[in-house]
Amino acid sequence: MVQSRAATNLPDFSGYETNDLFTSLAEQVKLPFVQIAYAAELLEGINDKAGTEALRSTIALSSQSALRLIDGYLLSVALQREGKLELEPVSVSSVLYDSAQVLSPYAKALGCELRLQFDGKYEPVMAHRNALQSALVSLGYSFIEAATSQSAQELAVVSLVVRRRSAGISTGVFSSNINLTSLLLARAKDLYGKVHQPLPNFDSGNGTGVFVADALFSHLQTTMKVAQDKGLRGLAATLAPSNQLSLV
Amino acid sequence: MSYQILLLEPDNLVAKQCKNYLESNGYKVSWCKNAQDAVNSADSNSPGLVIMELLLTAHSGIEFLYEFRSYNEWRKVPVIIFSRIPRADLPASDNTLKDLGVSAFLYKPDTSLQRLGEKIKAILSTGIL
Repeated sequence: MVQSRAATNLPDFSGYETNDLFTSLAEQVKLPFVQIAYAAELLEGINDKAGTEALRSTIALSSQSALRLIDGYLLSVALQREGKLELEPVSVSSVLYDSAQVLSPYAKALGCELRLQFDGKYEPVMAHRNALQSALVSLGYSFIEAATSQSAQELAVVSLVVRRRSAGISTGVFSSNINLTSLLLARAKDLYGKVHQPLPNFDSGNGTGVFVADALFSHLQTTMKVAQDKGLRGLAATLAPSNQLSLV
Repeated sequence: MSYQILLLEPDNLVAKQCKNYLESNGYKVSWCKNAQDAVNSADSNSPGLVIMELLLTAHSGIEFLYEFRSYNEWRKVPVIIFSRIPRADLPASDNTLKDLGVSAFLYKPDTSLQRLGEKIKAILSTGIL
């Protein structure tokens, strides 16, 4: 028996781009599932406590990365269905700090140095806290994976950054090992869901975290762009400051 | 005899897992994350077998294979493609893969480490080397 979407309460995937994002997500989550499957297989043949603990940690981290990506995607679909979001004053520094807390264990496990970069105090920005944090976390996971995949020799550094710009407060994720350009990003945005590796110089599976973040930033009425920060290259979006006085 | 395996795998966790498994089964493994490092590693380690992902940074796995096969000393080294891309999604024909000396195509989500180990054993036991 065929049930209607309303009856099953399924999200509406009729939009072409949403379909592509879903396809991209489905491809991407294969990787953490493979990691989990292999960790489980290795657990069967291991006797020492440290080895067992390391494999359990891999399972937990891989599950977390997959779940965060799925959550980011679902949030972007939910926000799309809501239409125009009511934005509210949000402390971007606080969101960045919370995002770093989420990403820190993953960065540590992959041998990546995670940095928080502030250059002062910032007034609140007009945003949706969950969407902003989800976008930064999605980008963070992607950058950690990409930066640590690029070179075995160099220490991978990923920075979560807030800066004041003339147009507002800019926030994003940057890395020393990333080779992204506006052209590559624009091409990738046409290709995601259609090819296996829309971002050929950015090795984070198929880069779905980047596209999920892009979708979330668009719900925040801003655009994610390729940017540079103190010699690092990355992706950032500028948010309008709130006129409300900060209480902090 | 302990075979030297070149593992070309961009994902850290999957690479460590494969490396652990293969080393616990008596193989020596040199792991590279990208095509250029893999060529350099092959030069120093003379691998008896290559296991490689097709989705690599900067170069595609097929480009790496063409380069790898262009060197006389590596023309007969068996290669296992071990990829997140299903075989059906790879535009290369079976003949192209055969010409490139691909001994097996394993789709990661369908392949346990044990299955990978069995495939390696079968390929090495055919005495190609």
